[in-house]
Amino acid sequence: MILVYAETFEGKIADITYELIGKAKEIAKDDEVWALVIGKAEIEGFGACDKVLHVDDERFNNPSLHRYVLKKIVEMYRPKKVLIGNTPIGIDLALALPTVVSCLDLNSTAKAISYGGKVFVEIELDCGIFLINKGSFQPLKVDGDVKVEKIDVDVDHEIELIEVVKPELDVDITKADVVVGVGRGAQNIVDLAEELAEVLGGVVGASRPLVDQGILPPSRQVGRSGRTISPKLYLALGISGAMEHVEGVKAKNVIAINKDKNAPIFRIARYGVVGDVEEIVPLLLEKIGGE
Amino acid sequence: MIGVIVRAVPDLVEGLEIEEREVVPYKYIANELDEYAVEQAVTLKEKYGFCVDVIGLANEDAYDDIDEALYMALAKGVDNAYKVLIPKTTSYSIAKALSDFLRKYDLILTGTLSVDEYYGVFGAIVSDLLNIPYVGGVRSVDIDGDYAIVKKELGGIYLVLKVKKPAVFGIISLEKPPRYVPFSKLRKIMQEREIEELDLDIEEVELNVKFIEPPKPETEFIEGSPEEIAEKLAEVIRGLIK
Repeated sequence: MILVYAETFEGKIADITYELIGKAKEIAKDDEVWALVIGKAEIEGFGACDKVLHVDDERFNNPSLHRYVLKKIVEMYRPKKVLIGNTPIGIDLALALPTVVSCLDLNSTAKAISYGGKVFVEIELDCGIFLINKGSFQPLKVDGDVKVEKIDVDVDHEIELIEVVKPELDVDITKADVVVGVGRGAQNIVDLAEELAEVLGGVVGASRPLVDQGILPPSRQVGRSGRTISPKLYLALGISGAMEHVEGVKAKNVIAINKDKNAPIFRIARYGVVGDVEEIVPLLLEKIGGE
Repeated sequence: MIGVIVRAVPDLVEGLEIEEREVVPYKYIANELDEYAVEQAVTLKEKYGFCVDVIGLANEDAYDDIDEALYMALAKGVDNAYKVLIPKTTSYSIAKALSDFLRKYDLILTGTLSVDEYYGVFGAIVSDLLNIPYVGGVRSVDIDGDYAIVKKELGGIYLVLKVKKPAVFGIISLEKPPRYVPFSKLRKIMQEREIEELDLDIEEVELNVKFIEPPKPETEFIEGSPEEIAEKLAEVIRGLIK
């Protein structure tokens, strides 16, 4: 059996769940595909699965307890493969079992991306946990009846969810048509990036290092632990393009400027410039601003 | 007591040589998120007076390179520094060999992931082996009696969790930028302090893996003088946002 972990938060099933079901069905052959839903959630779109295990208990609305539920389920049902989204919730479900992190493909071998997006790793592994990056597979969301088995699971560990903090946003970067992204290589020209964004009618976004350093607020962070943007144009300045960041970029067009010609950001860029942002951005601003 | 794991990892800025069975870095540095874990531990020490140990993990090639990060941790206020020579093996093997040593800590902190971690999540494995709670993606840790209060990042929002100690936390960011250590202080620590080597029996496990260089991107590169590049870029941008 292949088990798909259905990621839930606040009662909602995360979209990546259906991407995992799509891949699970493709590789299952004669095996069954089961989905595991933990906590209160509406079971929908699981028509392609052979069964849904539902641990229907509001204690588990706290996703930090899901790893202990999964551990029990794995011991009980011994799935061959467990497919989990490589998300802030999913990655905490890695157990002390063979686990492939940042998985991009899964057939007879698993393909992962590592070393900041600079190396693909092919791993031969028949059984284990696969933490799969968002957007790797086509979603398969099928309406219709599916057998739902409700089960009770007890966990021993004490992790209590006290509060969900949703900071107020100074700006919603997910709605912008143009996002000028600044990374570590552009930390000295954030003011110019802001000017450029203004001229282009857009907003400034950032990769994690700039948010971590307090240069820009968390509302500006693009990526797995930030926000997913889908602008017409993403202008990536001095951003290396680690998977963490790139997963949050669903732009129609990406232009990247980076000193390192091997920077992974160029893999998603339609246009690229190998060069110093501190030299090019002021000139670009002159040309664009001179309209 | 707090134990912090710091791993030596390839310096991605310096580049890598990708061979089929091996990735050869030009240089090693401490994993950035592990250094955040050190920072978090030092903040807790300042607030509550905990004893903090740092445990460096490095392979043969990085065994000397990890010293700088360990001395830096001592300079920031960590009490003891240890290091472990690790063979070519899996995170599971390392965690298993280290778990007895780690059992004494109330909190074990490390980075949520290291840059070269594609097989297993080290902190999560340690917690399973010790049968204690694990939370990754953590940006701050505080203490409330027998519990730790952590903030876990969740895509623009965060969860506040109350976790029974002992526990393992994977750190992903900091609420304040890391503190600055003057070079003179670091030099003094390097003269005065020693790093203790831990001799652990780590089982060597060879994984069946193949390393591949990702295909070259199909990017259209804009070339020329900076002036020419800016001119062409402006034209491209105008076309794309029309």
